Amino acid sequence: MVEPERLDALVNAGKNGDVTAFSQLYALYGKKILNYIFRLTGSREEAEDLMQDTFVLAFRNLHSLKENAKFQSWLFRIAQNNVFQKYRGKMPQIESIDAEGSENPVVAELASGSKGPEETILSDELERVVQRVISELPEKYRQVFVLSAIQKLSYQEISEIVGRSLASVKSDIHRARVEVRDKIKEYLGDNYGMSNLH
Amino acid sequence: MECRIYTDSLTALMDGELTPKEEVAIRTHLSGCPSCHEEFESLRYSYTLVEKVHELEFEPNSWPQIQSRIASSPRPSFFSRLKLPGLWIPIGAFGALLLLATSLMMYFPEDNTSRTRQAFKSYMQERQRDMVSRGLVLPSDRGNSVFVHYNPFAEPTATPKGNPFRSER
Repeated sequence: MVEPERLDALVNAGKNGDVTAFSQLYALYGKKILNYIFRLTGSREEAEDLMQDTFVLAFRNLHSLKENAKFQSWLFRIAQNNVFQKYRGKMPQIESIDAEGSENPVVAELASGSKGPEETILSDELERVVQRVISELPEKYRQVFVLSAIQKLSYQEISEIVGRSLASVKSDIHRARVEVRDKIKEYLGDNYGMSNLH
Repeated sequence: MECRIYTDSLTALMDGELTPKEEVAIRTHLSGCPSCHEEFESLRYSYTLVEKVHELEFEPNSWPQIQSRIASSPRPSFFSRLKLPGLWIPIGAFGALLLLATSLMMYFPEDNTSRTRQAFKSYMQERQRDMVSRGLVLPSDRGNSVFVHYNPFAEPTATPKGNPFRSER
């Protein structure tokens, strides 16, 4: 979380053409933007290209940002518009999960307890499942889910980025959360909740 | 039905988006409702799984590429940096209309309507003087106004000819 005073100073400097100040904004928000675009496109290469486009566009149009405090929402909106423009208004779809039942390695791993309760990092396979479940979400839900669950933005900020009402965002995030839970549960079966990761 | 109200807010509860009052209400309900509590735990587990998902590593050393693109891109023009507020649009439109109206008035100083009105007024004043001189009406006390008072004691006479607004047969 960037201190409001620092953010204000950096944005003002950027508005006056200070590239060094803008590079600090890039260092602060680059990872968030990269990962947001990655969740929307599913491609690291694409995400890196679009992230660069986002920051170049942001620098060129920084003067149009009225409230410096809303820099983050504004930047996410540029990133999102870049993705939409690239994919002509539709977010890319990523292939669905095809593994089922107890034969999958995640289920076997959870059932055998080979990863102990102390394990705080998801196994590669379980992580892939979660990644896939997120990527399978309908466009409308994926957008708000990523902003909320991965980027940890407030509902108000998400509402500003996606241009929908707060009530609609709240409802969509809940539906997305339930859908993600149901799909992971479906994949893990009775083993859902067995791994003591929390 | 009552449980649905609470379960719909479980996500907002976990995201810290409820007011203190709402949070107290939902936590009170959860403590006394096993099915809602189970739903809460189930959702919380999925939260844990999602939070553990790795993010892409960010390499700030890609900045030079962005910097070179910024340097090669055109600087915003003076007008685009003016940050014109929305109010300037109606002001500009009003100014343009005013300019247009002034130009038209300068180009057409008198129109036919005003000429016709002037001719009618002159005719009426002439008729008034004529009628006053013949004693048909009494002079008005309104200065140059065309208004006159009808003289009920005057002898009836023929209407004088020469009405410019009536075509002669």
